[in-house]
Amino acid sequence: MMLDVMGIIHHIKYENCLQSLTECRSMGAVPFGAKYRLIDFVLSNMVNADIKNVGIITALNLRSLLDHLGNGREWGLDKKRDGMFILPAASHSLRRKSIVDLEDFYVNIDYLKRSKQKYVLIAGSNVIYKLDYNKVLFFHEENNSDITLIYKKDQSWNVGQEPQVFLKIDDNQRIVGINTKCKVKKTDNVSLDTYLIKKELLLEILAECYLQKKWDLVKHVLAKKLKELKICGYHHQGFSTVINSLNSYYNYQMELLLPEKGKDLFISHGAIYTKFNDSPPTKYYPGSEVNSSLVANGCVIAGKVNNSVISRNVKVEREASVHKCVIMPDCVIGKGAYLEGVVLDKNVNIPAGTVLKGSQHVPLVLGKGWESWEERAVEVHE
Amino acid sequence: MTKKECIAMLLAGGQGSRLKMLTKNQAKPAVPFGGQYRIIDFSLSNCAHSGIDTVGVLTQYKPQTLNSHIGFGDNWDLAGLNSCVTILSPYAGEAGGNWYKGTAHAVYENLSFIDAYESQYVLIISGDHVYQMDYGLLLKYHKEKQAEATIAVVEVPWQEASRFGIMNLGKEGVIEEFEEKPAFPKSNLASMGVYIFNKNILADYLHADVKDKTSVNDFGKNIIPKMLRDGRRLFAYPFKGYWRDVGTVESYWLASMDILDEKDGINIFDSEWGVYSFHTPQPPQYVGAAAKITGSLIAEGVYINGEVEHSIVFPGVQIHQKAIIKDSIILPNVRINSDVTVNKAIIGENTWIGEGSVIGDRGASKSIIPKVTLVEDNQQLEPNSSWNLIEAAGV
Repeated sequence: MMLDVMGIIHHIKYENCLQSLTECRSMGAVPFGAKYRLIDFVLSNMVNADIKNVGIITALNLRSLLDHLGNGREWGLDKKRDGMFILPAASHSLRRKSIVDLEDFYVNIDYLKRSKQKYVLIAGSNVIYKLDYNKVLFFHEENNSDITLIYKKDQSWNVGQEPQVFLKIDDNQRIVGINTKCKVKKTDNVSLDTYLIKKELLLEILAECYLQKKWDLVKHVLAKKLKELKICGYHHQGFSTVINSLNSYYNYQMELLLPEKGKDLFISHGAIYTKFNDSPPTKYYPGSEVNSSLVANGCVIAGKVNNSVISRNVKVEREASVHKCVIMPDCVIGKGAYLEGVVLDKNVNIPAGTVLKGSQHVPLVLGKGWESWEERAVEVHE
Repeated sequence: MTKKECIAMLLAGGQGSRLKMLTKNQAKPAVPFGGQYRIIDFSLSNCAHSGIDTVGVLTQYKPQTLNSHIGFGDNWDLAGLNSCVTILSPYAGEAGGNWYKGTAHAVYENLSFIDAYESQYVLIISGDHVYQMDYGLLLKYHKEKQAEATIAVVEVPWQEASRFGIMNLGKEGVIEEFEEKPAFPKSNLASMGVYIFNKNILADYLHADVKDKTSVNDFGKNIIPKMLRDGRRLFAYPFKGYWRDVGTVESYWLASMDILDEKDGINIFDSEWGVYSFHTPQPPQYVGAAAKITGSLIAEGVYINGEVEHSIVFPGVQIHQKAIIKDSIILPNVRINSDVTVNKAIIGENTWIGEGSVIGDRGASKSIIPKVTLVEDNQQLEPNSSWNLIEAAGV
C-alpha cells in the first residue's frame, strides 16, 4: 500500500564532527558498513515503507553524494511521478548550530506545497537503523499525535559529543521535556533525529519561524511547544545510532561485527539499497586468514584480517595484518604492514612494513588518499 | 532507427542439455557462473567494452530467467539514446509462426531487425562462452582483409582438437577448409562461434539456406561450408586469450576453476574489461570467528563460519561451523549446515543440506577428467545424507 507520507532528509549542520572524513564529502556520503554510505540506511527505510517522494537537502561538498545517489534508480526513485529530489540548503554555512534547520525547508517550500502527501517524515542522513515507518505512522495516528519523534534508550559512552537530544517522556509516550545540554544518566532517551509531522502543521510552523527568524525545529519549535502540541516519542528497540562523532562512527561499526547486530541491520525488515557496483566477488588467496569481519566485493586478501570492516576493492597483501579496523574502498595494505584500531579513508596506500595503531576507543584516522613517504612507524597514544 | 555500422546478434536460445540439471529451469546462457555472474554476462560485457551498442538476443529455450536478467540492458550500458538490447524470441506472422530450427534460421527470422539499423556488418556471437574479447579488433581485421566473412579462431590443445570445428588456413589467414570435429585434425585452430558477416552476403545465404530442405540451418554446419564451397572471401581472426565453451558439467566446473586460478589471462578483476552483471542487493559477506577461507572466490551476502578451500561461493549462501567445502561451486542461496563435507561438487540454487551430510567423494581422485558431483536446485537433503557421483540423478 502506498504510504501517504513524503520523506525529507535534512542537512546535517555539524558535519565537521567527522573531521577528515567529511572534509571531502557530505555526511550522507560517508562510507559505512563495508558497502554502504550513511544516507543509504534512512533512504532504504523510506523506500521499504513505500515512501515514493523523497527530498534530500544538500549543501557544499556535493560531488560524492550526487555521484552516489544518481537519479535514485537503485532506490526505485527514478520516477515520472514523485521520486527523488535534490534540494539546495538555505545557506552553505556550517556555523549554524541548528539540529534541524527549518530555513532549509523554507527555501524549498514550493516543493513541500506541491507534494501531495499528507505527512512528512524528516530524518537526518546520519541515522543508522532499520525501522518500519508504517509502524510509526500507526503509532502517530493511534496517539492522535501532532508530531512523533523516534528515540532509543541508550547508555551512551559517547557522552559530550554534540548534538545529542535527550527526551523526557511520560507514561503515555508524550514528550514532556527536551534537553540538549543535560548530563546523561545511565540510561536515557536519546532522539534518533527522525520526526513525523502533518504537512499542514509543518507549513504553519515554517510561517511562524519565518516571522521570528528562529529556525531550529528542535530548540525553537519542539522544546517550546511541548504543551501546545501533542508531541510523542516512538521507542525503537533495534540496533540504532546517530553518527555524530568519530567514536560513534568507529565503535558502531565494531559493534556490527557481532553476527546478531549485523543481521538486525543488514537483513531484517527489508534490504538496504546502495549504488550498484560491478566489483567481482572477493578473492581469498591461499594462506589468508579472515575472521569476524564484514567484507565487501572486489577485495583481494592474502594476509590476516580480524574484527574489521573491509570495503570494496581493498587489497591486503601477504603477511599484512588488519585488526579492529575500518578500511574504506580502494585501499592497499602493503606486505607485512600491521594496522590496529585504524580508520583508512578511500584510496589510502599503506607501504609494506608500516605499523599503525589507534587506541581502543579513539581510532587513528588517515584521510583520503593519505600517503606516507618517510614515517615507517606511526604510533598514536591516547 | 539510427544507422549502425555493425550490430550483434547474440545466440542464447540453446538448451545446453549436457549441463544436465543446471539447465533444468533456465537456458544455458543464464546458468550462474563465476561467483556472481551468469554465463551470458561475458558476451554482453564484451559488446559493451567493444563499442557494439546494439544487440539482438535470440532466445527460445526457457527464457524467463534470461529475460529478467537482461532487462533493458542498462547494466551493460546497452540502454541509451543510441544503444539497446532487444530480446528476439520466436514470433508469429501472417503465415503462422516458427520455432527457431537452428542458429542460422534464428537470425534469418530476424533479418528485418538487422535491416532496421541498415548495418553493413553483422556480428554473430554466443551467450554460452567464457572469454574477454574486443570485437572492435575483429571488425577492424574483417575490414582490412576485405573479407565477406571472418571467423574468430583460437588455438586449442592438439589432443582436444577433434572436439571442435577446425579451420585449415592458407596464406594470410584465408580459410581453405573447415572440418567439424575431425578425427585427424590438420590444425589446432578451433572456431569460437564468433563471426562477422557482410550483411548483404549473410542475407543472401540465409535466404538460400531456408530453401534448402537438407540443411539443419546452422552457421557451423551449413552456412560456413556453403560459403567455402562458393569460394567466398573467408578469413580467420586469431584470438589470443582464454576462451571456453561451457558445454558440459565437467567443462563448467573446469572453467569455473580457471576463473578462480586466473588461467590463461581470464581475469574478472580487470578494471578495463570488467564483467558487468545484474545483482540483487546483498549485504556484505560475513566471515565468522570459526571460518577458514583460502584460495576461493566469495560473493556478497554470504555467511561463512566453516572451512572453504579452492571453491566458488555465490550470493546468499550460508556455510555453518565445521562444514568443509573443497574444490566446489556453491550456487546462490544454498544452506550448508554444520559438519557437512562437500568435495568436488556443484550444489544447485536454494538447496538445503542437512548437518553431517557428505557430498561428493571423500578421497579426491586425481584423474585428468574431473568427476564432479551435481546436486540439483531446490533440494532438501536430510541430515547425514550421502550424495556422490553414482547416486546423483542423471549422471
